[in-house]
Amino acid sequence: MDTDSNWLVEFCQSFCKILENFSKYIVVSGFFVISSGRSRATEDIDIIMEPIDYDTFEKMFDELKKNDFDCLQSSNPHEIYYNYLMERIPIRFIKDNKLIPNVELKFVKDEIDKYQMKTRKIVEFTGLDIYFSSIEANIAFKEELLKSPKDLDDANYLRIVYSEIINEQEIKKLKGLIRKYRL
Amino acid sequence: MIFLEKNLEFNRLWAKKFKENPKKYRPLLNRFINAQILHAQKQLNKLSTEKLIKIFKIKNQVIIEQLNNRNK
Repeated sequence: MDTDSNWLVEFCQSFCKILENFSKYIVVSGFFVISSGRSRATEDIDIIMEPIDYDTFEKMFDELKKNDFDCLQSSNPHEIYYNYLMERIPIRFIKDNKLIPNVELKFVKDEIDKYQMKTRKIVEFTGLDIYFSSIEANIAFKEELLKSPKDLDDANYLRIVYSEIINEQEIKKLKGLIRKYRL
Repeated sequence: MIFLEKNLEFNRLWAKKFKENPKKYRPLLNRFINAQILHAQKQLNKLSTEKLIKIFKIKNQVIIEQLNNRNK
């Protein structure tokens, strides 16, 4: 592997490139913060996608397989689709038989996920052609729901890096949605 | 406590530096991320297949087989 590039970025980009041919998606949480420059460790990339029908999922699964992505839960797309994704249980994908990094993938589950999907963005500062949930959504989740020291540090980091463009009203709105749907 | 404060201060300083010049600091960030991934992969390699199955909730028999065949 090239030591100058970021392996986590390469892994995520190759996964998202396949995903976008089949559905809308957003990358959320830790990977967004790292892509914004925070120097902290992460082993997984959280991705939410809009639900798709089984036939489309099967095609997507085949395409992932062709590109050396394997699902940790099963190699049977039918089982993964109906026993996991449709039950709103996340699945994990690895590449080239390495358990780290991995992608945790799940379907949109509620109104707040739908809202995040609607407000998804390519964030220029990251330099990546990847759709992320908005800066405000990332801050709101970390400050209102997750709240671990790491998450609060992440939120502080995002507040410094994106200070000129953060919409506080939007964060307030999202925190209200989190309280309504998640707490 | 002192460690946490120092860590917070480092994060604040790093955020400001990175924001000023992302091009300059991204290679350093990449090296840190890659080193961290490599370290985590090495640590995982030391674990038994049973432990890995438990940690990652692995049920895919093909992957379990591959894990069993490590170092063989």
